[in-house]
Amino acid sequence: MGLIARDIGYTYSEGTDFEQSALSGVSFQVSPGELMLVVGSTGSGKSTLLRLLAGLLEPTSGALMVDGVPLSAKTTRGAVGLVFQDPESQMFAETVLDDVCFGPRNLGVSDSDLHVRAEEALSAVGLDPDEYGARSPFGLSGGEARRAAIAGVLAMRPRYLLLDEPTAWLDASGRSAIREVVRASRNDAGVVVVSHSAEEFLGEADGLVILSEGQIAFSGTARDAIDDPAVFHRAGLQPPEILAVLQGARDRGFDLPELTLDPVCAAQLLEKAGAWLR
Amino acid sequence: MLSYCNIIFRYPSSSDEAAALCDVSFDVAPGTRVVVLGANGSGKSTLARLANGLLLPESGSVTVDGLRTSDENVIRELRQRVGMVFQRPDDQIVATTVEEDVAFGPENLGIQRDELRLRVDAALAAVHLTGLESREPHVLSGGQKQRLAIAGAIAMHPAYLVLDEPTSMLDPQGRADVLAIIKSLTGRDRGVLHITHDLAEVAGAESAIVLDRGHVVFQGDPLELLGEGRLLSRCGLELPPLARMAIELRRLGAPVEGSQTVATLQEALWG
Repeated sequence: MGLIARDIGYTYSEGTDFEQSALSGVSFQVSPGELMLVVGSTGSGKSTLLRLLAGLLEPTSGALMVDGVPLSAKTTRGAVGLVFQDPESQMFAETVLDDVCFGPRNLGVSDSDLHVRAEEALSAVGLDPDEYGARSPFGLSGGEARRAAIAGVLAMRPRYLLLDEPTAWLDASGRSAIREVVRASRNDAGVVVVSHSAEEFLGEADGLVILSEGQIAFSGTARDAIDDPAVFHRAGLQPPEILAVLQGARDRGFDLPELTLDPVCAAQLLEKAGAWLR
Repeated sequence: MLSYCNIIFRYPSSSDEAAALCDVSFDVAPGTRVVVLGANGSGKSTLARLANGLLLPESGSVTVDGLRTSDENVIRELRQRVGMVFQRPDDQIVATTVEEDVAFGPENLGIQRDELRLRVDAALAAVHLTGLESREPHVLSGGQKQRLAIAGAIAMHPAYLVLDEPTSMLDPQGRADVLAIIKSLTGRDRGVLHITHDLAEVAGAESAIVLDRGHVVFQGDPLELLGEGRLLSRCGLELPPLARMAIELRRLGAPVEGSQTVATLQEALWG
């Protein structure tokens, strides 16, 4: 079981004068129940990777498998769900419930099943179907609209859920609601979150992939990256701020074998190491 | 002075009776940056649109150096004194090259050629875009576009700048670059009204205001605000992890004074 990329690459406009390699030699795997975080700066190939994993693009080299079957537009249908950046701008139905039903209806889910699925999906993202189902998607707050859009993908019951910058542009309450949704989604699916920063999801991720100029600059467990924030610097990215401070203490010779993303624990680590002048 | 005095504002179309802003009063003095914080729907953007008369209050008044936004006879002059920068950088670009985009506003004011050149060069220098004069704006990064929007606003030589969530659509690098520019804008006696939902951006501001569903629930020293964890979470705001770490460090006796960047925190700890 797993969504697996083996040594995949993608070149835009291959064989023309405009040929441009966006991704090369990328191997990657996510299993049900896992959260993989993919980070990289603008132009690092994150979005291309996401489109490949969703079957929207075909790799120009390498192979993609979903649960043992070669991945194609056909096999990803229903198996892999992609939530784009700014998904609320793609909502169009008159009510939230209709919007959430759109995806599963296209998969041929029967009418009797549709509403069950939609209500389940809305509940999963923390939107009470009785309260929100009949509302217009256009009257929702940013965080509510984003959750409704994610519900639309969850209603297709994908085994793998791909999220592109899921917390971008949301305020604190919207962001924490989305983090909750991601946490809950792992019960049923493998989740891939793509972001330009590790700040938001590294603490709960199982694995981390850092992309740089279309190639993998780091691939390992989130734990490895937390304990060695230099992996971010090597890939030209800033580590989460707390790790940067702790790494600074290490650079000054203080003994910090294990690092943490928790603000309170981080302060206590520094105290224990005697890491400031009294 | 940019003054909001006992503002009540209600959207005519809103289904509920609740005011978008309810008895809001504060001043932005020349040479200071006032940060207004609040969750989505707290009334922040309404506040920005009141600054130059795009919206008019139901009661109370907004005045800019004594000129009232509701006075049609002074609105032209008033709008020259208040520069606006909005959230989406792409919506604010009007020309096909960077320098033409900056020149657009002052040219419409009738500024002559030589002076125009000086203004454009100075504005681009202020936002660190010198050298990109002939670029097409659409090839710029999000952060560069937003800096371009700021350059366009300051080329008008406004006495006050109102920035409505100028960093919320940018990546971390773009955000850091724009924030550094914003912090440098209060020089030359310019007053800045900076609206954001990101608490990390209050660092270095002269004053902070928190809006919760149209009401001012905090007004005062930004450092003091960072200690108000309960109030902040009630208002849908979240202390950045680094600020929470700084608070815990202070509690443990470390010589940390509300520092919020990695660099200043490290300097406080190790000099």
